[in-house]
Amino acid sequence: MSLYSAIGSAMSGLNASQAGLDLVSRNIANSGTVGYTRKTSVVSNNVAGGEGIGVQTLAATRNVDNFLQQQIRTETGKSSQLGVYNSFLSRVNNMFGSPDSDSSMAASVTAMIGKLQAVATSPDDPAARQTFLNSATNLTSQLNSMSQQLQGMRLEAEQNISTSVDTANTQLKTIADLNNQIAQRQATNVSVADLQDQRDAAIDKLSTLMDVKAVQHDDGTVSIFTGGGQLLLDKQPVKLTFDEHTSLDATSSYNIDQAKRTVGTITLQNGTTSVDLIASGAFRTGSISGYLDMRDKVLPQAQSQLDELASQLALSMSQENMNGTAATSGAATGFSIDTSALLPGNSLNLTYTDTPGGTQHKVTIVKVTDPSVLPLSNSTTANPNDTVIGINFDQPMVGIVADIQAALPASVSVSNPSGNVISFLDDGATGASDVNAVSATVTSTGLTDSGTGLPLFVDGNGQATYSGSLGNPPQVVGFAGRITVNKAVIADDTSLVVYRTSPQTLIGDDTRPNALLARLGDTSRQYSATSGIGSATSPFSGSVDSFARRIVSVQAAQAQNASDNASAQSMVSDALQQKFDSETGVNIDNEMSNLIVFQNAYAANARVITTVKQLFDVLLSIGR
Amino acid sequence: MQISSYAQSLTMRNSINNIQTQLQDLQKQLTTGLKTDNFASLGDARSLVLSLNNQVSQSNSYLDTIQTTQLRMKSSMDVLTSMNDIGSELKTGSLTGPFDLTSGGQTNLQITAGMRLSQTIDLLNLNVGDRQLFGGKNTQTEPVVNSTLMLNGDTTHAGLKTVIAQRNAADLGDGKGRLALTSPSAGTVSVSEDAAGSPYGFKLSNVSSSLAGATVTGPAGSPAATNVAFGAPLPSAGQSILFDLTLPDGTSTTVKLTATTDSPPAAGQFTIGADAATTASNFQAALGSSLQTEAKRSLISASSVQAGNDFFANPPVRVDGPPYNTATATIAGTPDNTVIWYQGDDSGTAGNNFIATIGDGSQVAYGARADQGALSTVVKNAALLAAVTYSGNDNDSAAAYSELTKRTGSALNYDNGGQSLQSVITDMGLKSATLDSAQSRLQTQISTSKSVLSDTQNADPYAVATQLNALMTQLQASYQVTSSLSKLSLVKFL
Repeated sequence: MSLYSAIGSAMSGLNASQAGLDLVSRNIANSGTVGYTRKTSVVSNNVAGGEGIGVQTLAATRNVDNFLQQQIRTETGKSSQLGVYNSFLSRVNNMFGSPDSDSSMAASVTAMIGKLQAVATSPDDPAARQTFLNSATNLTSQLNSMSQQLQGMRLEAEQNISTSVDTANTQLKTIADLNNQIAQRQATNVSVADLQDQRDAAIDKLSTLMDVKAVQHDDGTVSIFTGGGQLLLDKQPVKLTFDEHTSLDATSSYNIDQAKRTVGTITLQNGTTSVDLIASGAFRTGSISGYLDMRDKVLPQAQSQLDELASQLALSMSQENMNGTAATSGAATGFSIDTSALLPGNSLNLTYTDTPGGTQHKVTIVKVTDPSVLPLSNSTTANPNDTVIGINFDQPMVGIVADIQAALPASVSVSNPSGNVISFLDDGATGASDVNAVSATVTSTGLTDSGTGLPLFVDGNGQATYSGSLGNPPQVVGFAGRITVNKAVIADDTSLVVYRTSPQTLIGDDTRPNALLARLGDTSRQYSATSGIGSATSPFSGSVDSFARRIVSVQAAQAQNASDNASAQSMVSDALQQKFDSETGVNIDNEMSNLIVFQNAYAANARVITTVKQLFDVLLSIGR
Repeated sequence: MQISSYAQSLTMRNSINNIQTQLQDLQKQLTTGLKTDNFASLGDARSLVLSLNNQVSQSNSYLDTIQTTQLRMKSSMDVLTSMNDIGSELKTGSLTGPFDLTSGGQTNLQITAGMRLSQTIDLLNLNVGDRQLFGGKNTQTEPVVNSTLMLNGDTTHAGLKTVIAQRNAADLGDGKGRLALTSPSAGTVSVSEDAAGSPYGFKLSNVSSSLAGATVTGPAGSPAATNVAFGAPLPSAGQSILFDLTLPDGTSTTVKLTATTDSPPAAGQFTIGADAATTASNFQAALGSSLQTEAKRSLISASSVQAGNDFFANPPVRVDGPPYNTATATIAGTPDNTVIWYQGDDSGTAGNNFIATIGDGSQVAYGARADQGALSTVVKNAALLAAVTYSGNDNDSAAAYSELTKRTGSALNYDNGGQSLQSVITDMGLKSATLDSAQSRLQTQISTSKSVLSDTQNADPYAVATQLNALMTQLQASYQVTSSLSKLSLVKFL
């Protein structure tokens, strides 16, 4: 108990007030800084030898709700994922234009049908024929350009994934560095609150890219895990790599089998082990997950819808149905059919009945020349009521017949009476089966003398025939990007009318245009469920233009859902963020009142020192 | 709990931003008049908008088809009405016109028919919008050849006149219409067709007799023949025999011979001789003379009419000759030797060659064709009248002309039961009415669809203006509060 100890205490009070003022000034200065949390000075009674000797200023701390913080990270991850959905899908939606002007591709299909009708009304009018071809060309360019845009967006997603992975690596590095600094400073009782703010900002940024979990350790460091549980950072960050592909088309796709994968994947490198993070399902939220979904699911589905439309458009025009001719052999009756006109993807259609019982079976025998795609699934055709058999026709007839027979019951006998003719006969006297009908669906390649159909649409600049061939990849994949109007038809627009050469079709004959109109308007046409419209058991069926309209409404609905989901999610994460900011941010009124407190404390401590000085003066003046 | 100043101002800023976004959207709605500029934000209405837009566009194509088809039908009906008038004029002339020959060996009616033929052909060759209306699917060739070529032909192609002349020669034969009169034995006269299966000349269909003592057998056999054998007693005056003869165009005539005691007998009579042999000889001479007269009157007219049928058939039918007067068969004319009057398309059913789709699943088949019976009848009969000439010196000319005009008049009256031109016009009128009603239905549908579309897509300016006002008030209030709040800081009071 001495004046010296009083002056010591007052000095410590002055220091504490200064430190407090310093914090107030920093808090006020950062009141508008994003991610800044309010720091509070912690003081304690400084005790030496059982006696208080003044006040001690400890490291400034912050007050953060870790649970809320983790919740915010989860929600912002979802929010940025849905943001990606919204931004991509709104662009898909924009491809359809405004409903008022109706420039969508569905409207183009309708417009083309309207022009075809004008050709049917005036087949002899060259202007009508050219206008129709022009509208068909417009439609194909629209499909090509939409397909190109979709693939462009997939490539953009690929590039964005690459950038995001780089950013994630940078953030992990930052977190690791901050971890070290925090651990060192915490060990020496220095304030780590500001570094924690910085580290939180880095983790926040990381969580907008992917779903991560931060686990706190006693030494002040954090470990980072993916939502799926892979360790991203402990002492050292792992390295994420992305083998970006610089060009994508409709056939590029992700595959767990690395040999078949034609797009990039994210690999986690930790020492000598590497893990395919996409295969292990590490990305559930965050923008990377959004980009992955776009690249691998949503945009390819939009593409497959356009492909299906293009495919049906081409096939509706060019496919002909060829009926088999009745055939007998002893007591066995049935039909035979010439298969020489069959192109890959074309089919033989067999209907037979079990007798007695009367169960009717429809079998579609699809011509395949690439045996690697066999066996075919039943969903190869949109028709849910048939059994699909894929047969490799790239072999001698003996083999073809044997393959077909192997796929059919013994009561239906398959034979090759001559050339490329295949006969399907029942079992005659035994009476266990009846062959009801055999027909072939073939794609015409020439402009005349193969029925009233017309191969108006062809595949790519090479003008290849489109027959929906099944290969690796199937011809339908990306067809919307390649479909073009047959140059031979453009060169001679009368082929829209002239369907046979003997006797020569008259130019005023409306048979072919009317037939083409009927094909486009055929409401019993069925569409593959792989496009996501309709289901395998109840496929979408309707005219080609109604399918086009369905695509527009499906895509627009998807865009609207994405937009609704994104705004709903951003409201959730904004609300949480606001709550967090409110609780951890700086309130200027609070700081100002603290300022007054510290100011007063400083003044009071200074007053103590002045008083002690006066006491010393009095003491010293005694000796004079 | 404290509220950070930053969060407080952030909240304020967010809500003001939100209001401003809404304001911008409403402003856009007000200026464009539309609720949205993309399909996504149309919401549940998008399927409706898509299908209505499709319906409007589809209906407009139907309307285009209807308009084009109507133009064609109306033009066709005008042509057919004119042709019907021509047909009526020629029919009336045929049934009432006098036989007054002008210098060219034709009556006024025939000269008029020539001019009407040219007019009819011009009408049938009418081209509407680069398209022949009456040639079926061959819309690029004039369907009917010009009247000069049709009637006169050229050096290598036989025209109607040549075909008539050859047919006349074949039907007349030696003048008795290809019937041979012989006397196989005394008292018996045999009348026989000159060749079995020959389409030419008179065809014996029936003989009926009231001649006493005369035995009539036949017509029987091939070629058909009939025998009249006179015996005792001899026929008495006033008794008669009737020969029913079928003519080349399917009509028939009757040659009647009456027994008389007059010598020489008047036309259509034969003198009863002293015995059967003389009577038979008289009978044979009188029958020969009557047949020759009948041949020059009804047979030649029927022959010309049939020649017309032959020429207007597809392919044309020609006499297998020369020689023509002894020909016994027909042969098909070819484009190399005969004028083919109809150059259009002859496939399918005439009158239904074109299909107009005028609604979902609703089609109208239309299109009259020059070779359709009702139309070609007018051309054929006008051409027939124009092709035949008469000699003023021949006593049978007036009767022959009357036989011809009787037939043209009947054909133009459509007595044979085929579809008349009037009924073709009526038919087309009904189809045109169908098109009219489809048109008004489509127009109503389009306007209904458009009004639903605008209800769905258009922004209601009153609603938008009201919302704008409300938002503006809200925004003003927010600014007011912001400004008041900003004054509420401890800083101001220290």
